[in-house]
Amino acid sequence: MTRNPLRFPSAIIEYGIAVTVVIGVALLCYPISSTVGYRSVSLILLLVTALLALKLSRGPVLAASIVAALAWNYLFIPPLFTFTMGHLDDAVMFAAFILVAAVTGNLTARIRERELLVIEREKRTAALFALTKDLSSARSQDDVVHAAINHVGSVFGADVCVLVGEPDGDMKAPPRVTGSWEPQDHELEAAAWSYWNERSSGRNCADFPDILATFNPISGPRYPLGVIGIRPRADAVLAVEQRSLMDNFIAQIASAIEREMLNELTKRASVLAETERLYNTVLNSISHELRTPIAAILGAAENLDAVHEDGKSPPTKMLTEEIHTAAQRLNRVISNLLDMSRLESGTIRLRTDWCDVRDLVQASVRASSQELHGHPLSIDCREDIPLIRGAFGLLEQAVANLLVNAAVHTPPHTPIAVVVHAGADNVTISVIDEGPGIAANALNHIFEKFYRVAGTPSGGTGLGLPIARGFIEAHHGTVTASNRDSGGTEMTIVLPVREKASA
Amino acid sequence: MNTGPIILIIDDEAPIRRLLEMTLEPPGYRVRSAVNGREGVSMSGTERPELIILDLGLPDMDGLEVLREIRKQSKTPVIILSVRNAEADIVDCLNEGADDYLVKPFRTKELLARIQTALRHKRPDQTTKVFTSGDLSVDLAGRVVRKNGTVVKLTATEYSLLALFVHNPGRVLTHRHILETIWGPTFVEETQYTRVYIGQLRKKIEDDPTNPKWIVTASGVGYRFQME
Repeated sequence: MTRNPLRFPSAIIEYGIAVTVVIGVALLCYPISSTVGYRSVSLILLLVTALLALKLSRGPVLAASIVAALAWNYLFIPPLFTFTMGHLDDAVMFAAFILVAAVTGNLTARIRERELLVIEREKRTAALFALTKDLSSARSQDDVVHAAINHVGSVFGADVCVLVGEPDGDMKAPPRVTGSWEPQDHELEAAAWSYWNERSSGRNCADFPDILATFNPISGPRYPLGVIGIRPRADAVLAVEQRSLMDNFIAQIASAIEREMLNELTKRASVLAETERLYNTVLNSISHELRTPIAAILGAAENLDAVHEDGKSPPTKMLTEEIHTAAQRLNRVISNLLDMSRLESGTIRLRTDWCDVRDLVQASVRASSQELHGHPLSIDCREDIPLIRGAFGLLEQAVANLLVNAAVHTPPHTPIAVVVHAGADNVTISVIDEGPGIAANALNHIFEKFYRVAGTPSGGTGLGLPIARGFIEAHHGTVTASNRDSGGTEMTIVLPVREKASA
Repeated sequence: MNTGPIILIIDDEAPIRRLLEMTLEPPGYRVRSAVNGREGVSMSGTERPELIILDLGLPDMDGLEVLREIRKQSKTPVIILSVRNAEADIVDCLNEGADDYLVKPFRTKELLARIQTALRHKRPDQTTKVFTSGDLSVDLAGRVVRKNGTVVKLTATEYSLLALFVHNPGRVLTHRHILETIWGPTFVEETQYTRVYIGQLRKKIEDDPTNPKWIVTASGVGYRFQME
């Protein structure tokens, strides 16, 4: 399938050129033959033959030599315009001329052919190199197929399609195909045959020789990976050198596809492993959070019933308080899990209404009163805080979670403050504690699910802050944490105010 | 043998029924139980309870439906039992005629208080002329409000608001109800009015407006006038 820009059979044209040029030059020399002598003309004609050999194939060059010799004889050797030669040395020259012309022509033609071969080989190497470069920078199976289509298309003038098998070695019917052409049913039959028998099929092959395309199997280490189909655009036969280049191409493409398939499998396996790990961590954490208060309840309940050896009745008040506390803790854990679930599933639908921020803060304080117990609480909320639009319950929960977080992570009896400010187009609610602060590199991570700052006591679901952030973000607000210069942590909620209530 | 008012419990969960019975019998109430909505509706007619406790999570009927059926027959006070984050359902029920609500898990003290409030409200005591609680006193006839003996100046709207609360001590009032009563039916969506006026009222009568003890917010539902 070498490219041939000429439309007519090139042989005829070449012969035509050979004869025309030779005769033309001979005629041109005719006027000067009397000045330079007819023997010099022979050298000119010899030169012309050699030059023709640079461009034409051997046959025409040989023809040129003979025509040149005859022309020289006819036009220049006396007697003129006859093919007879008067002198012996002219006859010897004539014979020598033919020989030299033929030999020179032949040699030059050979040099040219060699040169063409080298160029051809270089082109093939360059093509293979370009393909390999593209294949090695491919980042996915699609990239590989793209590269294959580009290169096979431009080098061989053919359409490519790649049929990929399943990871377990099976090929679906119909199989997954990507490429620049869609194989028809009879072509798919040949493709499937190639896949299962791991042999080429199609044109120029023993099997399915009557279809236009050729299918070559892509073989993996253990089982076939797929099939490459090549269908030439013009009706041309693949030259022998091209055939081996094609095989090289297919080998490179096959190995690239195999590489990408393995990459894909590895990626999937590692994601699976990571998911499993996270899942187990979460399950363990939740299990612990649920079982601990249940254990406390069961234990206290058992004790309520017990009769001590010395006949004393159990301290019922203390035990019932334990049951109470544990049950509330259980309630909070379950609420957190449900809230997180709602956030994850995206089913939060805000039923917004006007909210009084002071009211909100008060409700949050009441909701977290058990955890806040023992911490002196101050609320700083100026009177001109505008009403904001939001879902009261969600906002209350968010603020309550920040309060609980502050209470749980600071030493008992340390003060906690809530400060509310109105900005130009927002309202900020800050929860400030005087605890140990949070490590700088953890400040953003604390809003991630189940994140635990290293070294802090475990307890709590690790969901309070993510839930707060989720609820606030549902209101298009933000929650951030920062360490105060004077020690302690400040968590700030910023809620946008888009409309003002008119009342 | 108990002789107190009959209370009908409509709840499909046996543990909740047991808990309610344990809570209501000692103070002297007579408890009847229905395990689903249909039974509840029919028993509300046959047992003639003075109060109904209705759980919204019934298997056979929507709680709102049960409430509507009950309301077709009587004006018996109904207290709704619901779960967290169901404010919308609670508000719908209150607007349909329920008197109050409790969120599970609830404190038994609160339950008893709400029951008392609901029963009291059923027998309106229109004879009260002066309401006093703690350092707040409201002279309903003379429309004078005193805190710690000092007269508090309220606008007409603020007074109407306070009077509404005083006439409904302990009972939850939804925004809609407040707006409808004070401002009229066309204002039922203007919740900013309630927020703003409640805020102003609190400033005038509460010791600490950020920690109100009289007018308490029922999250996402409305307000409650809490008495000492």
